[in-house]
Amino acid sequence: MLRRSGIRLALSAGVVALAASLAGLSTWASFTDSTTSTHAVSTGTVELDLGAAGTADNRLDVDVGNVAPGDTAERAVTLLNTSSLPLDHIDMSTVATTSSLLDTDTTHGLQVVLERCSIPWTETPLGGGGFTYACAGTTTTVLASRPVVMTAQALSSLALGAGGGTAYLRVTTSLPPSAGNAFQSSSSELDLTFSATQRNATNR
Amino acid sequence: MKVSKHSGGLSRRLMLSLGILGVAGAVAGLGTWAQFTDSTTASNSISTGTVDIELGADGLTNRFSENATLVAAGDTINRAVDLKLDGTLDLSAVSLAVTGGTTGLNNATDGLNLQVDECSVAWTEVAPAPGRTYSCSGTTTAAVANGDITAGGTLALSSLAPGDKHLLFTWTLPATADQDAGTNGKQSGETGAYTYTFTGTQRAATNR
Repeated sequence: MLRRSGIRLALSAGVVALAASLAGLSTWASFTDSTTSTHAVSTGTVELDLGAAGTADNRLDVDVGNVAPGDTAERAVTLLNTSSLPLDHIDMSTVATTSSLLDTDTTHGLQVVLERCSIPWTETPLGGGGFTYACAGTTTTVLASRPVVMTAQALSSLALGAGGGTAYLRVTTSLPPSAGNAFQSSSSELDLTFSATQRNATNR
Repeated sequence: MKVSKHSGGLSRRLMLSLGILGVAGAVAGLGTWAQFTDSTTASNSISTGTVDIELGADGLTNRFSENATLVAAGDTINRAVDLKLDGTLDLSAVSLAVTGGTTGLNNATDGLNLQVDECSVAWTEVAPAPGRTYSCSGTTTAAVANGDITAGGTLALSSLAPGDKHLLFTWTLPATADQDAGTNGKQSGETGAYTYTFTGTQRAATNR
Protein backbone atom coordinates (compact mmCIF):
# COMPACT_ATOMS: atom_id res chain seq x y z
CA MET A 1 0.00 0.00 0.00
CA LEU A 2 2.75 2.36 0.92
CA ARG A 3 4.58 1.69 -2.35
CA ARG A 4 1.47 2.26 -4.43
CA SER A 5 0.86 5.54 -2.75
CA GLY A 6 4.41 6.48 -3.56
CA ILE A 7 3.88 5.75 -7.26
CA ARG A 8 0.71 7.80 -7.33
CA LEU A 9 2.51 10.75 -5.81
CA ALA A 10 5.24 10.54 -8.40
CA LEU A 11 2.68 10.43 -11.16
CA SER A 12 0.85 13.52 -10.01
CA ALA A 13 4.12 15.38 -9.68
CA GLY A 14 4.83 14.44 -13.28
CA VAL A 15 1.51 15.88 -14.38
CA VAL A 16 2.20 19.15 -12.58
CA ALA A 17 5.60 19.41 -14.21
CA LEU A 18 4.09 18.88 -17.65
CA ALA A 19 1.50 21.57 -17.06
CA ALA A 20 4.17 23.99 -15.91
CA SER A 21 6.32 23.41 -18.96
CA LEU A 22 3.31 23.95 -21.21
CA ALA A 23 2.67 27.28 -19.51
CA GLY A 24 6.31 28.15 -20.12
CA LEU A 25 5.96 27.37 -23.81
CA SER A 26 2.94 29.57 -24.19
CA THR A 27 4.78 32.56 -22.63
CA TRP A 28 7.54 32.21 -25.21
CA ALA A 29 5.06 32.19 -28.03
CA SER A 30 4.29 35.96 -27.90
CA PHE A 31 4.43 37.77 -31.20
CA THR A 32 7.60 39.82 -31.49
CA ASP A 33 9.47 41.63 -34.24
CA SER A 34 12.89 43.24 -34.44
CA THR A 35 14.52 45.75 -36.70
CA THR A 36 18.14 46.81 -36.86
CA SER A 37 20.13 49.81 -37.96
CA THR A 38 23.80 50.67 -37.86
CA HIS A 39 25.61 53.93 -37.18
CA ALA A 40 29.28 54.73 -36.81
CA VAL A 41 31.02 57.40 -34.80
CA SER A 42 34.63 58.31 -35.62
CA THR A 43 36.57 60.61 -33.39
CA GLY A 44 39.28 63.00 -34.50
CA THR A 45 42.77 63.51 -33.11
CA VAL A 46 44.88 66.35 -31.77
CA GLU A 47 48.56 65.68 -32.38
CA LEU A 48 51.35 68.19 -31.86
CA ASP A 49 55.01 67.24 -31.95
CA LEU A 50 58.38 68.95 -31.87
CA GLY A 51 61.06 68.36 -34.47
CA ALA A 52 63.69 65.75 -33.67
CA ALA A 53 65.96 66.92 -30.87
CA GLY A 54 69.55 67.47 -31.85
CA THR A 55 68.70 68.51 -35.41
CA ALA A 56 68.06 71.93 -36.97
CA ASP A 57 64.37 71.18 -36.27
CA ASN A 58 64.92 71.32 -32.52
CA ARG A 59 67.82 73.10 -30.83
CA LEU A 60 66.02 73.67 -27.56
CA ASP A 61 68.19 71.11 -25.80
CA VAL A 62 71.34 73.11 -26.55
CA ASP A 63 72.09 74.89 -23.29
CA VAL A 64 73.07 78.53 -23.07
CA GLY A 65 76.06 79.25 -20.90
CA ASN A 66 78.13 82.22 -19.74
CA VAL A 67 75.42 84.75 -20.45
CA ALA A 68 76.12 88.44 -19.85
CA PRO A 69 73.52 91.24 -19.62
CA GLY A 70 72.49 92.23 -23.16
CA ASP A 71 73.17 88.74 -24.58
CA THR A 72 70.65 86.87 -26.68
CA ALA A 73 70.38 83.17 -27.48
CA GLU A 74 68.53 81.88 -30.54
CA ARG A 75 67.19 78.36 -30.80
CA ALA A 76 65.06 76.97 -33.60
CA VAL A 77 62.26 74.49 -33.07
CA THR A 78 59.75 73.07 -35.52
CA LEU A 79 56.16 72.46 -34.47
CA LEU A 80 54.42 69.63 -36.35
CA ASN A 81 50.66 69.74 -36.22
CA THR A 82 49.26 66.45 -37.57
CA SER A 83 45.84 66.73 -35.90
CA SER A 84 42.89 65.48 -37.88
CA LEU A 85 40.78 68.05 -36.03
CA PRO A 86 41.09 71.80 -36.52
CA LEU A 87 42.66 73.49 -33.53
CA ASP A 88 41.31 76.35 -31.47
CA HIS A 89 44.78 77.47 -30.43
CA ILE A 90 48.30 76.42 -29.62
CA ASP A 91 49.79 77.80 -26.45
CA MET A 92 53.09 77.70 -24.65
CA SER A 93 53.94 77.28 -21.00
CA THR A 94 57.36 77.59 -19.40
CA VAL A 95 58.28 76.41 -15.94
CA ALA A 96 61.62 76.74 -14.26
CA THR A 97 62.62 73.30 -12.98
CA THR A 98 65.74 74.95 -11.56
CA SER A 99 64.99 78.50 -10.58
CA SER A 100 67.03 81.65 -10.03
CA LEU A 101 66.74 85.40 -10.46
CA LEU A 102 67.00 84.75 -14.21
CA ASP A 103 63.39 83.50 -14.25
CA THR A 104 61.95 85.05 -11.07
CA ASP A 105 62.83 88.65 -11.90
CA THR A 106 60.31 89.46 -14.59
CA THR A 107 61.77 92.91 -15.31
CA HIS A 108 65.52 92.36 -15.41
CA GLY A 109 65.46 88.61 -15.85
CA LEU A 110 65.19 86.58 -19.04
CA GLN A 111 62.79 87.73 -21.77
CA VAL A 112 61.63 85.56 -24.60
CA VAL A 113 60.22 86.18 -28.08
CA LEU A 114 58.97 83.64 -30.64
CA GLU A 115 58.96 84.20 -34.37
CA ARG A 116 57.89 82.07 -37.26
CA CYS A 117 59.55 81.82 -40.65
CA SER A 118 57.46 80.77 -43.65
CA ILE A 119 60.26 78.38 -44.67
CA PRO A 120 62.88 76.60 -42.53
CA TRP A 121 65.26 78.97 -40.77
CA THR A 122 68.76 79.19 -42.17
CA GLU A 123 70.97 78.07 -39.31
CA THR A 124 74.48 79.35 -38.72
CA PRO A 125 76.46 77.71 -35.90
CA LEU A 126 78.34 80.01 -33.55
CA GLY A 127 81.73 79.24 -32.09
CA GLY A 128 80.48 78.62 -28.53
CA GLY A 129 77.99 75.90 -29.52
CA GLY A 130 75.10 78.29 -30.08
CA PHE A 131 73.34 79.24 -33.27
CA THR A 132 72.05 82.22 -35.12
CA TYR A 133 69.24 82.14 -37.65
CA ALA A 134 68.03 84.01 -40.68
CA CYS A 135 64.70 83.73 -42.47
CA ALA A 136 64.79 83.80 -46.27
CA GLY A 137 61.00 83.86 -46.33
CA THR A 138 58.55 85.90 -44.30
CA THR A 139 58.92 86.36 -40.57
CA THR A 140 55.94 86.82 -38.26
CA THR A 141 55.86 87.25 -34.51
CA VAL A 142 54.18 84.38 -32.74
CA LEU A 143 54.72 85.57 -29.18
CA ALA A 144 55.73 89.14 -28.35
CA SER A 145 58.62 89.70 -25.97
CA ARG A 146 57.74 88.85 -22.38
CA PRO A 147 59.23 87.32 -19.20
CA VAL A 148 60.36 83.78 -19.84
CA VAL A 149 58.14 81.99 -17.31
CA MET A 150 54.51 81.81 -18.46
CA THR A 151 51.39 79.77 -18.23
CA ALA A 152 49.42 78.90 -21.38
CA GLN A 153 50.28 81.94 -23.48
CA ALA A 154 48.45 81.68 -26.81
CA LEU A 155 50.73 81.71 -29.84
CA SER A 156 49.50 83.64 -32.86
CA SER A 157 50.03 83.24 -36.59
CA LEU A 158 50.08 79.45 -36.49
CA ALA A 159 48.05 77.41 -38.96
CA LEU A 160 45.25 75.81 -36.94
CA GLY A 161 43.28 74.00 -39.64
CA ALA A 162 43.02 70.22 -39.66
CA GLY A 163 46.48 68.83 -40.36
CA GLY A 164 47.79 72.39 -39.89
CA GLY A 165 51.24 71.35 -40.94
CA THR A 166 54.62 72.63 -39.93
CA ALA A 167 55.58 75.86 -38.19
CA TYR A 168 59.27 76.87 -38.17
CA LEU A 169 59.87 78.78 -34.95
CA ARG A 170 62.79 80.66 -33.52
CA VAL A 171 62.91 81.09 -29.75
CA THR A 172 65.04 84.07 -28.79
CA THR A 173 65.94 84.42 -25.13
CA SER A 174 67.70 87.54 -23.92
CA LEU A 175 69.03 88.88 -20.65
CA PRO A 176 68.22 92.62 -20.50
CA PRO A 177 71.17 95.02 -20.18
CA SER A 178 69.55 96.17 -16.93
CA ALA A 179 70.35 92.83 -15.22
CA GLY A 180 72.69 93.79 -12.39
CA ASN A 181 75.42 92.02 -10.49
CA ALA A 182 72.86 90.05 -8.55
CA PHE A 183 72.46 87.91 -11.68
CA GLN A 184 76.05 86.74 -11.76
CA SER A 185 76.52 82.97 -11.68
CA SER A 186 72.78 82.38 -11.81
CA SER A 187 71.43 79.27 -13.41
CA SER A 188 67.90 78.37 -14.43
CA GLU A 189 66.55 75.34 -16.20
CA LEU A 190 63.41 75.89 -18.23
CA ASP A 191 60.90 73.41 -19.55
CA LEU A 192 58.89 74.60 -22.53
CA THR A 193 55.56 72.96 -23.25
CA PHE A 194 53.55 73.55 -26.41
CA SER A 195 49.90 72.56 -26.14
CA ALA A 196 47.36 72.20 -28.91
CA THR A 197 43.67 72.49 -28.11
CA GLN A 198 40.92 71.16 -30.36
CA ARG A 199 38.28 73.41 -31.92
CA ASN A 200 35.25 74.17 -29.74
CA ALA A 201 32.71 71.40 -29.33
CA THR A 202 29.91 71.47 -31.87
CA ASN A 203 27.22 69.33 -33.48
CA ARG A 204 28.34 66.64 -35.89
CA MET B 1 -14.30 -29.51 -4.27
CA LYS B 2 -18.03 -29.26 -4.50
CA VAL B 3 -18.01 -25.62 -3.67
CA SER B 4 -15.38 -24.80 -6.20
CA LYS B 5 -17.31 -26.64 -9.03
CA HIS B 6 -20.46 -24.72 -8.20
CA SER B 7 -18.72 -21.41 -8.14
CA GLY B 8 -17.17 -22.17 -11.58
CA GLY B 9 -20.64 -22.66 -13.01
CA LEU B 10 -21.88 -19.38 -11.56
CA SER B 11 -19.16 -17.36 -13.15
CA ARG B 12 -19.89 -18.88 -16.60
CA ARG B 13 -23.54 -17.97 -16.18
CA LEU B 14 -22.68 -14.42 -15.23
CA MET B 15 -20.60 -13.95 -18.35
CA LEU B 16 -23.49 -15.13 -20.46
CA SER B 17 -25.93 -12.63 -19.03
CA LEU B 18 -23.40 -9.86 -19.55
CA GLY B 19 -23.26 -10.86 -23.22
CA ILE B 20 -27.00 -10.55 -23.53
CA LEU B 21 -26.96 -7.12 -21.91
CA GLY B 22 -24.41 -6.01 -24.48
CA VAL B 23 -26.70 -6.95 -27.37
CA ALA B 24 -29.64 -5.22 -25.74
CA GLY B 25 -27.55 -2.07 -25.41
CA ALA B 26 -26.62 -2.14 -29.09
CA VAL B 27 -30.23 -2.51 -30.16
CA ALA B 28 -31.22 0.46 -28.00
CA GLY B 29 -28.47 2.46 -29.69
CA LEU B 30 -29.88 1.73 -33.13
CA GLY B 31 -33.23 2.95 -31.94
CA THR B 32 -31.74 6.34 -30.94
CA TRP B 33 -30.61 6.97 -34.57
CA ALA B 34 -34.12 6.74 -35.69
CA GLN B 35 -35.32 9.75 -33.67
CA PHE B 36 -36.17 13.17 -35.17
CA THR B 37 -33.14 15.45 -35.06
CA ASP B 38 -32.32 19.04 -35.74
CA SER B 39 -29.08 21.01 -35.84
CA THR B 40 -28.04 24.60 -36.18
CA THR B 41 -24.66 26.17 -37.11
CA ALA B 42 -22.88 29.33 -36.12
CA SER B 43 -19.64 30.47 -37.73
CA ASN B 44 -16.92 32.21 -35.84
CA SER B 45 -13.63 33.32 -37.37
CA ILE B 46 -10.55 34.05 -35.36
CA SER B 47 -7.91 36.37 -36.81
CA THR B 48 -4.62 36.94 -35.15
CA GLY B 49 -2.94 40.33 -34.97
CA THR B 50 0.55 41.19 -36.08
CA VAL B 51 3.62 42.69 -34.47
CA ASP B 52 5.70 44.52 -37.04
CA ILE B 53 8.24 47.20 -36.24
CA GLU B 54 10.29 48.99 -38.85
CA LEU B 55 12.51 52.03 -39.07
CA GLY B 56 11.73 54.98 -41.31
CA ALA B 57 13.09 55.09 -44.83
CA ASP B 58 16.53 56.58 -45.32
CA GLY B 59 16.16 60.36 -45.39
CA LEU B 60 14.08 62.68 -43.25
CA THR B 61 12.70 59.80 -41.22
CA ASN B 62 16.01 58.00 -40.77
CA ARG B 63 19.37 59.76 -40.59
CA PHE B 64 21.28 56.75 -39.24
CA SER B 65 23.09 56.43 -42.55
CA GLU B 66 24.90 59.68 -41.74
CA ASN B 67 27.89 58.51 -39.79
CA ALA B 68 29.61 61.04 -37.58
CA THR B 69 33.24 61.75 -38.43
CA LEU B 70 36.03 63.82 -36.90
CA VAL B 71 34.20 64.04 -33.61
CA ALA B 72 35.98 66.09 -30.97
CA ALA B 73 35.64 65.97 -27.19
CA GLY B 74 32.42 67.68 -26.14
CA ASP B 75 30.75 67.24 -29.52
CA THR B 76 27.09 66.33 -29.90
CA ILE B 77 25.62 64.17 -32.67
CA ASN B 78 21.91 64.33 -33.47
CA ARG B 79 20.12 61.90 -35.77
CA ALA B 80 16.36 61.45 -36.06
CA VAL B 81 14.74 58.13 -36.86
CA ASP B 82 11.11 57.08 -37.01
CA LEU B 83 10.21 53.86 -35.24
CA LYS B 84 7.19 52.55 -37.10
CA LEU B 85 4.89 50.23 -35.17
CA ASP B 86 3.29 48.78 -38.28
CA GLY B 87 1.59 45.77 -36.69
CA THR B 88 -2.08 45.63 -35.71
CA LEU B 89 -1.50 44.73 -32.08
CA ASP B 90 -0.58 47.11 -29.31
CA LEU B 91 2.80 46.31 -27.82
CA SER B 92 3.79 45.67 -24.25
CA ALA B 93 7.31 46.99 -24.78
CA VAL B 94 9.90 48.08 -27.29
CA SER B 95 13.46 47.49 -26.25
CA LEU B 96 16.70 48.83 -27.66
CA ALA B 97 19.98 46.92 -27.68
CA VAL B 98 23.22 48.60 -28.75
CA THR B 99 26.26 46.53 -29.68
CA GLY B 100 29.64 47.30 -31.19
CA GLY B 101 32.07 50.15 -30.59
CA THR B 102 35.53 50.14 -29.08
CA THR B 103 36.81 49.83 -25.52
CA GLY B 104 37.60 53.53 -25.37
CA LEU B 105 34.37 54.74 -26.94
CA ASN B 106 32.32 52.42 -24.72
CA ASN B 107 34.09 53.54 -21.54
CA ALA B 108 31.56 54.50 -18.88
CA THR B 109 33.38 57.66 -17.84
CA ASP B 110 34.95 59.15 -20.94
CA GLY B 111 33.19 57.23 -23.71
CA LEU B 112 30.11 58.06 -25.75
CA ASN B 113 26.77 58.73 -24.11
CA LEU B 114 23.41 58.19 -25.74
CA GLN B 115 20.05 59.76 -25.07
CA VAL B 116 16.83 59.12 -26.99
CA ASP B 117 13.94 61.56 -27.06
CA GLU B 118 10.55 61.30 -28.67
CA CYS B 119 8.65 64.14 -30.32
CA SER B 120 4.86 63.91 -30.61
CA VAL B 121 5.19 65.08 -34.23
CA ALA B 122 7.98 64.63 -36.77
CA TRP B 123 11.26 66.28 -35.79
CA THR B 124 12.13 69.44 -37.70
CA GLU B 125 15.64 69.52 -39.14
CA VAL B 126 17.19 72.85 -38.24
CA ALA B 127 20.75 72.57 -39.51
CA PRO B 128 22.06 70.21 -42.18
CA ALA B 129 24.81 67.64 -41.66
CA PRO B 130 27.47 67.81 -40.48
CA GLY B 131 26.22 69.63 -37.45
CA ARG B 132 22.64 68.48 -37.81
CA THR B 133 20.28 69.84 -35.18
CA TYR B 134 16.55 69.39 -34.67
CA SER B 135 13.60 71.01 -33.01
CA CYS B 136 10.27 69.56 -31.92
CA SER B 137 7.16 71.62 -32.52
CA GLY B 138 5.12 69.22 -30.39
CA THR B 139 5.84 67.65 -27.05
CA THR B 140 9.20 66.11 -26.24
CA THR B 141 9.50 63.15 -23.90
CA ALA B 142 12.57 61.18 -22.85
CA ALA B 143 12.59 57.64 -24.25
CA VAL B 144 16.03 56.63 -22.96
CA ALA B 145 17.75 58.70 -20.28
CA ASN B 146 21.26 59.91 -21.03
CA GLY B 147 23.72 57.12 -20.23
CA ASP B 148 26.38 54.78 -21.57
CA ILE B 149 25.99 54.17 -25.28
CA THR B 150 25.68 50.40 -24.90
CA ALA B 151 23.24 50.53 -21.96
CA GLY B 152 20.14 50.11 -24.11
CA GLY B 153 16.94 49.14 -22.30
CA THR B 154 13.23 49.61 -22.68
CA LEU B 155 12.10 52.67 -24.61
CA ALA B 156 9.72 54.84 -22.62
CA LEU B 157 7.42 55.62 -25.54
CA SER B 158 4.44 57.96 -25.33
CA SER B 159 2.23 55.14 -26.64
CA LEU B 160 2.64 51.50 -27.58
CA ALA B 161 -0.27 51.54 -29.99
CA PRO B 162 0.46 51.12 -33.71
CA GLY B 163 1.80 54.28 -35.36
CA ASP B 164 5.04 56.17 -36.01
CA LYS B 165 7.17 57.15 -33.05
CA HIS B 166 9.47 60.08 -33.88
CA LEU B 167 12.76 59.48 -32.12
CA LEU B 168 15.86 61.61 -31.86
CA PHE B 169 19.14 59.96 -30.98
CA THR B 170 21.67 62.25 -29.34
CA TRP B 171 25.20 61.09 -28.72
CA THR B 172 27.77 63.10 -26.80
CA LEU B 173 31.47 62.60 -26.36
CA PRO B 174 32.35 63.99 -22.92
CA ALA B 175 34.73 66.94 -22.74
CA THR B 176 36.93 64.67 -20.61
CA ALA B 177 37.56 62.33 -23.57
CA ASP B 178 41.21 61.34 -23.71
CA GLN B 179 43.65 62.02 -26.52
CA ASP B 180 45.93 59.26 -25.26
CA ALA B 181 45.20 55.90 -23.72
CA GLY B 182 44.73 56.50 -19.99
CA THR B 183 42.80 54.67 -17.31
CA ASN B 184 39.61 55.17 -19.26
CA GLY B 185 40.97 54.14 -22.65
CA LYS B 186 41.60 56.26 -25.70
CA GLN B 187 38.71 58.13 -27.24
CA SER B 188 40.61 59.97 -29.96
CA GLY B 189 41.18 58.56 -33.43
CA GLU B 190 38.68 55.76 -32.86
CA THR B 191 35.87 54.48 -35.06
CA GLY B 192 32.98 52.78 -33.31
CA ALA B 193 30.56 50.90 -35.56
CA TYR B 194 27.36 50.34 -33.63
CA THR B 195 24.31 48.20 -34.30
CA TYR B 196 20.95 49.31 -32.91
CA THR B 197 18.32 46.58 -32.54
CA PHE B 198 14.75 47.50 -31.71
CA THR B 199 12.51 44.64 -30.55
CA GLY B 200 8.76 44.96 -30.09
CA THR B 201 6.73 42.47 -28.05
CA GLN B 202 2.93 42.11 -28.26
CA ARG B 203 0.64 43.37 -25.51
CA ALA B 204 -0.14 40.95 -22.67
CA ALA B 205 -2.50 38.11 -23.57
CA THR B 206 -6.12 38.80 -22.69
CA ASN B 207 -9.70 37.61 -23.38
CA ARG B 208 -11.06 38.49 -26.82
